[in-house]
Amino acid sequence: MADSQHSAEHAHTLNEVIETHAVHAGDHHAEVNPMEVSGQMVVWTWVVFVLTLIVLYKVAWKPILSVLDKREKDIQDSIDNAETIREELESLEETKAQTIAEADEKAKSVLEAARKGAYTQAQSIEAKARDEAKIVAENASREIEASRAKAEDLLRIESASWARQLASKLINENLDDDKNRALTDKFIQEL
Amino acid sequence: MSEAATTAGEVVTASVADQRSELVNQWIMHHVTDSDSWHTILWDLHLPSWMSNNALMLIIAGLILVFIFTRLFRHEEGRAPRGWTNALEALVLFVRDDICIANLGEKDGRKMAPLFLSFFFFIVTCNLMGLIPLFSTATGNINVTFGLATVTFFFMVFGAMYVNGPIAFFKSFAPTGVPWPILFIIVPLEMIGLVIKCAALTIRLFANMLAGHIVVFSLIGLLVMFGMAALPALVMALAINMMEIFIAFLQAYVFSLLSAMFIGQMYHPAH
Repeated sequence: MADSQHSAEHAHTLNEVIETHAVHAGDHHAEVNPMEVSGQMVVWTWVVFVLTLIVLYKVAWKPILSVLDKREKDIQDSIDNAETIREELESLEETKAQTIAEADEKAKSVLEAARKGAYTQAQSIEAKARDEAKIVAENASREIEASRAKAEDLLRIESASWARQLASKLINENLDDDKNRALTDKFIQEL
Repeated sequence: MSEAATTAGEVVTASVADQRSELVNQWIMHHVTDSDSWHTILWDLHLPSWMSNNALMLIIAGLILVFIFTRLFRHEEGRAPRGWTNALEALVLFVRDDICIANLGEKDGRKMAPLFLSFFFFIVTCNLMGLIPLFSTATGNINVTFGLATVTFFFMVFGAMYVNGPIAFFKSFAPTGVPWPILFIIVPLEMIGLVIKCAALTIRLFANMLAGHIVVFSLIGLLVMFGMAALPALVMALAINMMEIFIAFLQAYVFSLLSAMFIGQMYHPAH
């Protein structure tokens, strides 16, 4: 019995504590209606909101929005610039490629001309060399022919004189001898 | 005799419990409704009759916004924005591009961006202040949300008259191509719709803020009623409070977005 009374008292004290410190008795909150209409509060809202709007427009929205617009414009300009630069680069690239192609063409033609020239020159040098060689060979064969004819002549003359001398010696020494006669006959026949 | 005492004790306990639940109820209402004082554990301020707690919160919200946008928000020429500036800029851009320009068109959207930026930041500040101890939720007061919705209404009516001319404004209530007898039904409906849109704006923001706070306080009230046994409720209260942070942004976004949509519809009645 004492226990339950004690806990009831304790609970009662706790309620008083709650009432004093959390609820603030006397404010009559229970009668307050959260849907209560109060013209004063509406006016406060208008005044505060409009003032906030005006002040923020001056200190915040106007500068911020203009900075954002400017940045947007800058970025757009940069993008446009980049596009122009890209196009310029592209045309430069094209020019470069064209120049390289032209140079290539030129080099090729120069090389072709040089090769043709060298071929012609080589051809003419070869022909000249061949002619010269022919001349040399002809000269040589003519000379050989001449020497041979000369040698033949000389040999004929020499052999004739030898034969004469031999004949004269044979005739002079052994004309009577039969054997010699036969020999002489043989020589004569052989001549 | 013992039985009688026990019954008496139970009656006392029961009446004490009733009283306490009544107190918890009062405590919750105290925290979600407007009053003429600003009690905190640190100070106890009694306000004059022309002022109220929520009015003070509105003023503080305005001052916080001015502070944020003059002190924390910094644009330095030739330097990339950092920190707060970046975060706020993202929100500003979001409001301008996805709320204003998306619903009002390029020209009107840019022109009216300051209004919606103010709507968004003012409401989100009020909403978030309600989640910070010491402050209360001005947007949980129906009169505040009504005041804000009337601003939208003002632009829906007078802004549209200014943009399209008064005649075109009234013509927009009567859609073309409708047989004239039907107009007797449609025109009043359209006019009522104009008011209902704003009433919906009022109720949506107010109810969301009020309900969220009642839930949080009720969960904490369970602790007062049942003691330690209700400790898990504290975890739930914390979770709901976290969700309230998201809802604070969401409702500010929804209010600004719907205002922009409604005003956009009045500005461009063809759509």
